[in-house]
Amino acid sequence: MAPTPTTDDTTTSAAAWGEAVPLALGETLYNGLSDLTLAVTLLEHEWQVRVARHPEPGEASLWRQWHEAGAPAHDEGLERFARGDESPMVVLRPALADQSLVIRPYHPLHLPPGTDTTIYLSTQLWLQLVVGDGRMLMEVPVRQPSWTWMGADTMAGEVCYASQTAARLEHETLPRRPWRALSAVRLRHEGREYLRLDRFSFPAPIMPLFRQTEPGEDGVFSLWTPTLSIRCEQDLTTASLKVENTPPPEAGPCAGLAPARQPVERNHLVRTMDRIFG
Amino acid sequence: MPEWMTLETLGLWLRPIVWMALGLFLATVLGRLAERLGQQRLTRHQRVLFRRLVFYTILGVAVALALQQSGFQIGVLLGAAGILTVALGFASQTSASNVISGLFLLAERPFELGHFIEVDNVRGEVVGIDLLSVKLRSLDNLYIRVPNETLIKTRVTNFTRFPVRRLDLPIGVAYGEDLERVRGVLLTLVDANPDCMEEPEPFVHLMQFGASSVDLQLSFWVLGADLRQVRSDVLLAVKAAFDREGIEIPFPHTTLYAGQHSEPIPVAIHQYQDKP
Repeated sequence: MAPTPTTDDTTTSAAAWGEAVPLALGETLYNGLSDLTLAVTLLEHEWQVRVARHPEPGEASLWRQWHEAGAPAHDEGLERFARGDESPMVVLRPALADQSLVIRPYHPLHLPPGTDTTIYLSTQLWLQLVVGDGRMLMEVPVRQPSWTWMGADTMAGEVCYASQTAARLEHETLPRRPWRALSAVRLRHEGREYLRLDRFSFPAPIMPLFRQTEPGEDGVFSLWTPTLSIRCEQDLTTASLKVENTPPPEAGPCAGLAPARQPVERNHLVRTMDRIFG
Repeated sequence: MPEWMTLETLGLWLRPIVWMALGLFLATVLGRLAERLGQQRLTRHQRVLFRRLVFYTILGVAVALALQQSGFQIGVLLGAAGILTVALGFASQTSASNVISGLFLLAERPFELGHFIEVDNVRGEVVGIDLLSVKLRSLDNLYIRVPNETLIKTRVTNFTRFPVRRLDLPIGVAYGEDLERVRGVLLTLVDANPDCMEEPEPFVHLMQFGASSVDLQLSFWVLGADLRQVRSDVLLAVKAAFDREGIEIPFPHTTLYAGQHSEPIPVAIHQYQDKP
């Protein structure tokens, strides 16, 4: 079972990304995101980080964060980092996946010819633990994703992370969770027949992250990626892909939160485009 | 001091030695530099080849210059080298065969440094590709030298050529089990393991009705580097899931039968009986 706070000193999540949290000597900062519990303890000469996963059915929607005096009693997933003279600040930074994602709708979606369709989806985040004056200690995915293969055959292709989506067509129905980034994928189908969408590649490493500057209806500052535009001239083999500069207008006012892992290089984009649909 | 050891003859001997030493030094330094320059763009295998190319080219030029300084005629020497090669070829056919096989291997590139291969019933990581032989490091840390000729003649299996591999696990269940249920349990546990790839899709095939079990095959894809660990993890998970679900993993039973018309074999159990 996941660790729970021993006091009532819990705070909700939305404001925590990118914000510096001070720690007193000997104190532990706990973060409970989905089935991940990350505990950071500040000692005189070292940082101790404990990563524990306790998968449970269903997924919580709140980010539990609390402080406790002293180090945790267990050593599950313990890693130690020498500290030096770093300031006692902890920052949790979000990042998108470090490999492309292959996104599969739970059920195939058929796109009518000559139309623009926007589907809304969310992808899980990686948590980067930054201490002191900006030194990243480690990063972990909030949920360990499955591997998958994107390619015409098992000789030529790319190892990616697998992700499934309900491929919602209304952004309001998208569940908001602090450890998932929302995205709009605009599909332009210029062919003459219905296009069956079974899966597509989502180039997460070349996408930056944005955060809403005003909270949504549920009071949460959601994270958004720029819009991904896919244009199919005839069929899936003639598709091209473009990452827009900003999130969709539906996201409301947003500010940049984290840069893309990889700068958008022409070569990379071409490579991604080769395998948009596998 | 002997008569031939004058300052002039000493210089004549020293000059080629200096050229050789200088050539060796330059070849080593520039070879390493070339390898370092390719750090970002070339594979480990290509870097080593690049280093050797630079090294031997510079060394060859240095040797040629050293011979020229000693008064040798390079043209005559090359002609002699041709004859020498034929003579050496006859004298050392095995080595020559290995050298030529090595050149074919370099051109064909069936594997690279760092790849895990099987050749001649030996498995190991390729740690060296040389003119005469390929060096492997086995899983139990043995250093194995395989002559290039063997690599050309026998079947070579490269386990790391493609990044993903399929794992086929034979699993036997008792005849009384509901096979659809067993199939569901197996696919669920593969699905729950993030190291098992979602695509290509995992599957369960019924292979045969065995002597004491229904033989199934659970197949799924994994990253080549994780293969051993994932195999072990999945087998452990299969055992745990079968125990939890009450699915029997049978083992061979032997029934002694003494014939249709004969009496059963009398068996008596005596407690506390001394051993004969």
